Amino acid sequence: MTKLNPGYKLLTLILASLLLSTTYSTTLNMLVALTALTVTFLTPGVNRRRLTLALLPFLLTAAGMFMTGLFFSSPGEAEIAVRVVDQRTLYATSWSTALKLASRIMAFGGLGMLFAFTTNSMELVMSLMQQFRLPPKFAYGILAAYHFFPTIRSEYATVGAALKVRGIKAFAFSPKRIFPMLVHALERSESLAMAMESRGFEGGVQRAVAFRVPLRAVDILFLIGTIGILIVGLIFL
Amino acid sequence: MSKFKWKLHEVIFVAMLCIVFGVVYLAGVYLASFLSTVLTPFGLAPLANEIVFGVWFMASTLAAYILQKPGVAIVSEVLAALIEVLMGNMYGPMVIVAGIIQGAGGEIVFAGWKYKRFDALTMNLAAAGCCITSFLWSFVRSGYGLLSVKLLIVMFLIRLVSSVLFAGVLCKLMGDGLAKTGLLKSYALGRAHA
Repeated sequence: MTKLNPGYKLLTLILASLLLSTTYSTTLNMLVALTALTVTFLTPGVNRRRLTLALLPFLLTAAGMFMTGLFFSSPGEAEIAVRVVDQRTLYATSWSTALKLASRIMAFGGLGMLFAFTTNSMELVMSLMQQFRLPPKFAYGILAAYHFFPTIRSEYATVGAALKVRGIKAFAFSPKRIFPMLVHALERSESLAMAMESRGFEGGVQRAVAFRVPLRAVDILFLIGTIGILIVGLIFL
Repeated sequence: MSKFKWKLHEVIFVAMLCIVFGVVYLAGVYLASFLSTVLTPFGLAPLANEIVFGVWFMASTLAAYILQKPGVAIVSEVLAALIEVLMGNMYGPMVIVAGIIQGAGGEIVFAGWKYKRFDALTMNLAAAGCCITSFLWSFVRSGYGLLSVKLLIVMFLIRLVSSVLFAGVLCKLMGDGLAKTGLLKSYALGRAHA
C-alpha cells in the first residue's frame, strides 16, 4: 500500500467513495470498511497504536449517526413497532436506516484511514505535480505552508495564553484570537515567497525533478481492480 | 489573463490561511466532538458538527475577499481540502470532492457580480452559497435522504447561521481589519482601501 503511487491511490479512493455513495447496502459498506481497515492494519510500517487511537473518534461518529438514524429516520411504509425505549416507539425501518447510515460512515472512514496511514504527504504532493499537472507554484507553495502547521498550532495556543494573561476572554473562534495569526500568516507568506524566489524558484519554467514518484502498472491495476470489485459488489449486494 | 494568474506569495498566503483556519477548526472539532458525544444518546449528534461547519468556509471567503479575482474561492477551498488530507483527515480523499463542491457555492456568488463587488452582501451570500452546496453534498454523501425532514431543516438552519456568522460576517470584519494595518498593500483588498 505504501508503495502505490499516491496520486492514483487518491483518485482510486475518491472514485470508490463516490461509487459507495450511490448505495445503501449495509453489507457492502461493512465489507469495504473491514477490508480497508484490515489492509491498513497489516501494511508494514503503519503505526498500529495511532491507528487504534484514531478508530475511537471514528466509531463515535458512526455511533452518533446510528442513534440519529434510529430516532429521526424518515417515516417509511408498513412500519412495525418493534421495541419501546423510554416511551419512544422505534420501528423496524428505523433500525435498518440507522445501520445504513452508520455503515456508510464506517466505509468512508475506512477508506480515509487506509489513505491517511499509508501515504507520505511529500510524495502525495510530488505525485500530484508529476502525474496530475498540479503547477509547481502550487505544489511547493502548499508544501512550504504545510510545514508551518506545527508552528501555527503552537502560535494559536500562545495567542490564547497571551489574551488570558491580559484578562481578555476569547473563545476558540474569537477574531481577537484569529487576527494576530492572520497578520503572522501574511508576513510569513511574503517572506517565504521572497526566500523561495531569491533562491531561484520560478513557477512557469521547465524544472528538473529530484523526487520522482513512479507510476507503475500496479497502480493502474489497483485502480481498475478496486473499482471493478466495487461495481460487482454494487450489483450483487 | 493576468487576472487568473497567481503569484507565489498569494499561493503561500492562501495555503497559510487554510492552515490557520485548519488549526482553529481543529480546536472547534474537539469542542464539537465533546458535544456530539453528549448528544449521541438523543440521536442529535450530527447537530454538534453543524455548529462549527461555518469555520470550514472561512479560508475560502476570506481569501476571495482579499485577492478579489476569479477562481480564488474554489481554489482555496480545494487547497484547504488537500491540506486536510495531508494532515491525515479521517475522511481523507472525500474531503477533496467536498472542497470542490463547497468552493463552487461561494464562487458562483462572486461570479454573479462579475468579481466586481466584494462587500458585506456578497460575502454573506457567498457564505450561504457554500452552505447550500455543502448541504446538498452532505445529503448525497451521508445518505440524509433516510432522515426525517424536520431534523434536516434544523441541521440546515444551524449550518446556515454558522456559515454566515463565521465565513460571512467574521471574515469581512477580519479582512477589513487586515486592510487597515496596511499589510495588504500587494493585494486587491489593500489597494481598494488605500
